[in-house]
Amino acid sequence: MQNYFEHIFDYLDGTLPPEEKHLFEAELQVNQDLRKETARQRDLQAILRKQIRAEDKIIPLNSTLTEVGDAYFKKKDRVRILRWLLPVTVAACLLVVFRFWSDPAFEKLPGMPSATQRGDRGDATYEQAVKAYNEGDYPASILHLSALAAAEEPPARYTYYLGLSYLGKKEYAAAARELREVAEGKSVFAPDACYFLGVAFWKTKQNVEAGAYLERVPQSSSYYEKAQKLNKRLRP
Amino acid sequence: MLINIRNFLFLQGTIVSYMHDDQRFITYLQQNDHRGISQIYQLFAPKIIQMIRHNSGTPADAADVMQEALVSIYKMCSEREFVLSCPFEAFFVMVCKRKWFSMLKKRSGSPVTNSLDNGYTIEKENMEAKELADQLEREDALMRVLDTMGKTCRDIIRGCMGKDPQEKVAERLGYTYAYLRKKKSECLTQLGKLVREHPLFKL
Repeated sequence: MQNYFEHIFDYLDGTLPPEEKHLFEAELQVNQDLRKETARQRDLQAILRKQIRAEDKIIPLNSTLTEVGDAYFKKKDRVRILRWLLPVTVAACLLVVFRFWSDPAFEKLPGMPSATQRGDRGDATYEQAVKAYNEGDYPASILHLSALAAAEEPPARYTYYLGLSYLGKKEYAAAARELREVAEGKSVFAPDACYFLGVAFWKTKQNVEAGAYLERVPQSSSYYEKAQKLNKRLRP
Repeated sequence: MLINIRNFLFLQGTIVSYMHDDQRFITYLQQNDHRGISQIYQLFAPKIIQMIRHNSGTPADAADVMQEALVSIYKMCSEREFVLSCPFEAFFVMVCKRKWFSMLKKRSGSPVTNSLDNGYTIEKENMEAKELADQLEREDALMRVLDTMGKTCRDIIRGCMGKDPQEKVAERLGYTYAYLRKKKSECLTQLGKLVREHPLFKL
């Protein structure tokens, strides 16, 4: 055996013939460099063997780690989102409640005075219309008021309350048709008709038209403030 | 001080190693134990996240670092004979810290804003944890060096260090047995030289 270093791998693999193995081991006793290099190669191969053999099991382990890691970190994310979301949700709810409370009921209809209240004699149809309207029975009030409004040159109040009845029944196009007639006229109902016409347009998302009529509600009208508020809300 | 004698490993009546109670965490990895691995995350992830966030990282970085560290730990401790002689936490945190430091160095745009030792100073970790982390780093480095070698050497070393007998490896790679043994010696010698040049690896 001339060069012992060439035989380190055979020695470590256990493939040296017995006689050569004996010679090699004898040399190991006296040759420090050979001893060092043999130990180095033994350690190196032990690590390589361990690391390479472990690789077979890395795929299932990685799969478990991914699963467990995802579950852990997503749970943390969810907690973090909840921590952030909770106050935002509460604030949003409070805002909605606040707006609900602070909003005037834009569609709230005025009462319809009876002929007696107005000092008029009136007729039975009108009184039936008043009764139906004030009780919220808008189909009936529409029926009676339509009959009254069909007369030649009917008083504006018939058309006005007919328009309001349609509004109460949520038939906004019909409400707009009747109320426009009053709003464009010169009766005392015209300013209030402008307001309710604005509401009818707002309900059908015709904001430009709604704004135009709401702006026409004069300060003297009891609906002036509501008109201003609704008009402000319509602006983008 | 009370010491549990069952934790000592004896060889011919001599104490050769001390097994820490945290050995179970190594067993969880060795056995790919889902519940045990969940426990590792529950117990140690908050500290890793804190350490990484403190050093310019995010929880997502912490997730990557933890997974990589656990794979490296598994590879190092994959043999059943492995004995953990220090607290798992000290070892695990140190491995994660080094891996994160290495990632930060790779990300040129992410300077280290705080000392990596913040919150986890060396005084808190015992020397055995440090020695284990050093060994893990060397083993990682060795495998990286192997990956830089030519395909022939990589195939031969990987084949010969696997579970199959060398005759079968020679057949699979299309070499004669004699040629495989000759090439294996050359490749291992070359790997030994490359490793000696690596600053981390001094066997």
